[in-house]
Amino acid sequence: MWPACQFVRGLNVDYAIQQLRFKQKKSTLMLAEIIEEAKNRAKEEFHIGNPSNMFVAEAFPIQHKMIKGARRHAREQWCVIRYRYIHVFVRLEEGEPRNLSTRVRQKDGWEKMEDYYAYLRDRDFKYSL
Amino acid sequence: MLTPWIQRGNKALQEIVSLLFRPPPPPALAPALCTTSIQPSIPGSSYTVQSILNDFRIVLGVPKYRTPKPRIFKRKFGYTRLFHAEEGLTTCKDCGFSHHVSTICGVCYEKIRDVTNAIKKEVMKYNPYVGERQNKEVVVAFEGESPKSNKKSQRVVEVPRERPSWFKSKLNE
Repeated sequence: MWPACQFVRGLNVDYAIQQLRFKQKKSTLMLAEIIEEAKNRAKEEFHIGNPSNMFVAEAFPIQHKMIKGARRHAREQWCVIRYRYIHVFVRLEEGEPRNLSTRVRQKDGWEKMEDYYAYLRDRDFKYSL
Repeated sequence: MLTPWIQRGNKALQEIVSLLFRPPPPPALAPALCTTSIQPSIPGSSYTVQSILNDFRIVLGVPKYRTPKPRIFKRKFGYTRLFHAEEGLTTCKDCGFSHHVSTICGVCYEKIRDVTNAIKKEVMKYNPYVGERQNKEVVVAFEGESPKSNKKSQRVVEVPRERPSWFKSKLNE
């Protein structure tokens, strides 16, 4: 659930729902439903005029209860299974989504080398005939 | 899961220790044994209990150094562990659901697939031992339509469903 929440922070609401529904994970599907519910509430309860002009300000999971069960392995070995229940908190804000340019992966040495090659080969005389 | 192996390791350790340190001699022969410290069997060698434990360390797998926090964060929250945005998504103009640019709309396809499977089910209901060759053109008749075909090269298949709006009838052509 944490990676799903981290993925969605700062994104536009409709875009977030679309992206979450495309992942093959239970956590992303759950979070997509939560955000849809939040968007509906914003429209009905909070009377927001344009619910599509919103972004996800906060999204985080908090563990609530843990119920322990047991499971048998081979050779009479038993282990504990933890059934975890969580609370997921989502807060939407009106406005343009946040600047997510910092999320782009930083360039590694090889890519920087290619950029440097491109710069060297791009050099030319200025104002020549 | 690890306890049987740890037990075996301990057992082996105990056996080796007992081999090296022979049982005490009977009280009639032994002088006063007041030594508390464990001495190696061969004087001058360094095969102590510590070296036995060192040799058995391969059996008792244990971390040698504490994993630094940056390494833990690298594993948990590294680039490969995070979700990244799916690129190349468009919306279907007929149903409004999203799909990749390289594929067709899944929702629209599901409707067609459903009808196609129903037709296939009816087509496969023939007796392979009767001997008639299955080389005729299949023409589909839905519920409420008269399943008749004048052409000999056509086989009419009755599907117990309503005709979908996008499936044009070949019988009336």
